[in-house]
Amino acid sequence: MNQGKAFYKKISHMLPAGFLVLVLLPLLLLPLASVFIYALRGGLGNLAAALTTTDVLFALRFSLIIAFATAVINTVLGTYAAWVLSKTRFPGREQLGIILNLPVAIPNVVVGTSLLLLWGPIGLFGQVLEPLGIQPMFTPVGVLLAHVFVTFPYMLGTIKPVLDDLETTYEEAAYTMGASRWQTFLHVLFPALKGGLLTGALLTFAHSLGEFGATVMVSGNLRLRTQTAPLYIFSQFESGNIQAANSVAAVLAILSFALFSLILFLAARTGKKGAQRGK
Amino acid sequence: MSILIDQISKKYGDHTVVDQVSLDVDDGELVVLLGSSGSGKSTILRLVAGLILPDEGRIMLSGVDITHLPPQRRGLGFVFQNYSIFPNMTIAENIEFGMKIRKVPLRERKARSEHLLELVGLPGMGSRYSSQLSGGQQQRVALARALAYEPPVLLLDEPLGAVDTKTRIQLRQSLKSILKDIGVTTMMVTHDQQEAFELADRVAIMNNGQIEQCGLPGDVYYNPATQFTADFVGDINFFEGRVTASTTEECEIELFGHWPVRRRGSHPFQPGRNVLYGVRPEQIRVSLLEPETYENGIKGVIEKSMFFGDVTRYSIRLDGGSVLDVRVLNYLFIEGMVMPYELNEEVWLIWSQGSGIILADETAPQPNGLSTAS
Amino acid sequence: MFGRPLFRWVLRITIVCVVLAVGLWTIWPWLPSQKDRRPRTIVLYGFSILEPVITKGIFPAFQKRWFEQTGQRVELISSFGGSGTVTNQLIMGVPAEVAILSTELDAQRLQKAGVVHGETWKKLPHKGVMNRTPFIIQVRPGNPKRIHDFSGLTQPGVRVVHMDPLTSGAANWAIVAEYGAAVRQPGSGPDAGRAMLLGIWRNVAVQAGSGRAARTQFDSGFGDALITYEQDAIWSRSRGSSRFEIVYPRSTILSEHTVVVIDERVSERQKELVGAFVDFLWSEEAQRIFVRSGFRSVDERLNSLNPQFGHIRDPFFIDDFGGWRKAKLTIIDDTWKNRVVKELKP
Repeated sequence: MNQGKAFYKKISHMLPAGFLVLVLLPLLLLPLASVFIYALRGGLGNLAAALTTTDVLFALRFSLIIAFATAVINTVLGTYAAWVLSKTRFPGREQLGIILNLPVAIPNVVVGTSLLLLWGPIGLFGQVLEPLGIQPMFTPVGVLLAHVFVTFPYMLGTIKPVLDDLETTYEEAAYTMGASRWQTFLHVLFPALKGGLLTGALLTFAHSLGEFGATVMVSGNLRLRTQTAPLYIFSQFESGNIQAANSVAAVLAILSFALFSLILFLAARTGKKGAQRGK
Repeated sequence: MSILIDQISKKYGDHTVVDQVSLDVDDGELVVLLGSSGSGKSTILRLVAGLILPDEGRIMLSGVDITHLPPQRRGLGFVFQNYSIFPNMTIAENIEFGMKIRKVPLRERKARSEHLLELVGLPGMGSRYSSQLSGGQQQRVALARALAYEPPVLLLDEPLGAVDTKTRIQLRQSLKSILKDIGVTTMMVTHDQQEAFELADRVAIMNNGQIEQCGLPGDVYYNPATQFTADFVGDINFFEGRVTASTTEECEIELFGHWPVRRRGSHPFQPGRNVLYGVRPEQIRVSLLEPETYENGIKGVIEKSMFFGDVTRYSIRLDGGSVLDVRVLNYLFIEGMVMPYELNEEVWLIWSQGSGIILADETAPQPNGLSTAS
Repeated sequence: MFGRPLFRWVLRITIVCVVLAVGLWTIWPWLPSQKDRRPRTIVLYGFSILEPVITKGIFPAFQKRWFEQTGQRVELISSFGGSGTVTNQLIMGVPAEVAILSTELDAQRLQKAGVVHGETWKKLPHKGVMNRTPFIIQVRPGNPKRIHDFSGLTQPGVRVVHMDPLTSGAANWAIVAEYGAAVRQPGSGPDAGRAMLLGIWRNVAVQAGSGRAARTQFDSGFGDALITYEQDAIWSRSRGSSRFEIVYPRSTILSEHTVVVIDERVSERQKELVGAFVDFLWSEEAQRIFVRSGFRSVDERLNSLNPQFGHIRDPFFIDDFGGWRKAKLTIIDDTWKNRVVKELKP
């Protein structure tokens, strides 16, 4: 009787989790698993061969470089934006905050189109720049521009809450002790932001690595010049090279998985530190 | 180093936070700004530190105008209410921060921070982080950090506001002795009257962005210039009265239209003038016997008694209908020197003709002719 | 007590090492020591079915020849998509130096948009036509619906997979093929053509965005017949990926694929290289490669080299209808779009 009750209790505890897994299985886990199954179907040799073609090597390298550059640029821009929104007061501050977060709400394809319509050879600025020999679209610079645009809110979103929580008296204390604004940033604000900066940069990096919608619009999808890994996957899938597409997809999946584990690990660690500080 | 604050004002929008305040602090003096929250006292401190800039007026440091100097170039020490110990640095690194900015050599820095930690009673704690310290310890670190680069002026913003009562009293004493030792010119802000009286050379009472009165603690307590000051520092019973006679030696006032009281000393009030007459609860004794001729006395009925540990507070209804508060030291009962009073017992309230405060009654006559602060 | 910090350090060092290794690998080709080895480039946009033959056949051959002639390495920067899509990208301003389109129609659009000035492709060999391939019908194994000509597609109950003329160059070719096959019957006129289109399009079960997409749908088991390039069918068969039979209509069109050099985007320095590449497309070596991968050469003598090419009794060309400008107007717009499509609407 008692034992039965305990058993029932045990089962009823596991039920919600079990249900979640059941829902997630076809939604998340199985599709991911199938990428790996397809990638490995032809054996490791085939996988290695598919991953070492000039196109794949270029696409992976290009994606990594763009992601890195995007992360660096948005770390600076995003931190500055967060600082402005969090630590300065001016009319229209809230509206600006909404505008800066817009890229999250706008579909990436639309971002790509709008960039094209602005900077493209037939676009507003593009028409002026074209005769000068400046043409950012369909070049790596264009891809970078799109990625910076699309991933901008991630850094902002990570840093701003940290800055909001950081009392201004820390800065003021540093000022009264003679520290300049820069010294205050370097010695007081930056150390407090370090965890957030790393998390934000990784988040930006991961999103840039997987970006497709805007890239496909502004890159011209040129192999060996502007073709990122996701574009390569798409192109190969379209022309029926499922094996090639899946090999790269598997690599991207592993990279993203590693990145997000790192992000979660960092987030958990900074969270713990925060709690310790709060006591 | 002396501070001179000259006609300084600060507005936020339409709201005037500091209204033409002037104050000077002498070299080595400790002036406490005492006021309730929103009285503008913290704003004055931040103006002196340069964290905000005034709309009007000047601030001079030993005769040098520093009104528009950024905080970095004023070189003052500031202790924040929440201490703001940098969480990413050790205690020693916190204390050395100001010296590091000033490029003091490492060895000198180390020696100084160790010395300061000893001074504030935290020897050997340098390698810890603020998260490992209690509130009181953090306060002492904040003080050490502000003193580290030997600032000419120390500014303390509610330095003991964030610790519990018991620690606060201990810290008060150690703070006082440290500041006495160093002899640094200090401005401190607090809302705690006891703290102000214990630490201050002079106290400035702040209200609505203005200084109501500035003086020695005893002066402010016994000779408040305004009703607000009298109310704000300690408890006081106020009565509405009328001057009936005034000489260079004494002044006679009629309370409730029929109770005469006397106050020794010269007062600038002409007979017939409406005044407020105040007396502090601890100056009144309760007695079953009539007052002596050299004493003031008034009759009432015990309405309520409250036990406070060291004292018992009686609320006594006067025959005018008003209620007055009196405090009686409890040891007097224990020693048998005074018998405890029963409720509804008729008693005399007696105080010396040398105590009592007379203020001009600027306001319209109050309906019940009495106000009680507690 | 000792294990945890040690583990943490090992983890930390591992992460740093992995990140550094990936970083180094990433920037390797751009390192200074590698820089002088970076090759010259040609930027090419092509329509979809060209991708395998260009990237795996034609370009490596050109690369080799150019290296032998000049000692320079040259790399192909390329993008492939539907002919219409590629044309749109070119109009948007992608930095193509050479474009290969599936129809002259798209080349004319480029001219209209000002991407090229005048019909410059006409000055190239064979008026810019690089190779050809006839339109054929692909049916299920055993030809269960007994389809032997375009007229077979008009039988009730046949489900046809067709490309969408709005986005696909191949669909335009297919419509002209269907129309032409009917009007070229002895003793028939434009009405026969319209009747043929009406019959076939009544049976169109799905319109796919591109030739590639149409094939994917047919391969996944949808429909009874697919109208497509012969090359596409041969290439598909060579990969062994699908089981089907090819039906050669009695008369059908040979689609002609046009090379356009975007002169404005070819810098002075690139002129010689791009010129050499374009010339190479018509060389015997290149034409043989085209034939081997299922395209019919502009040089008829080479076409006997591929035994997979089927016989067409009455092949015809777009010029038989007065060129694309006229055919577009009379066949695509007037007959198909304005009449057939409208009649089909309920």
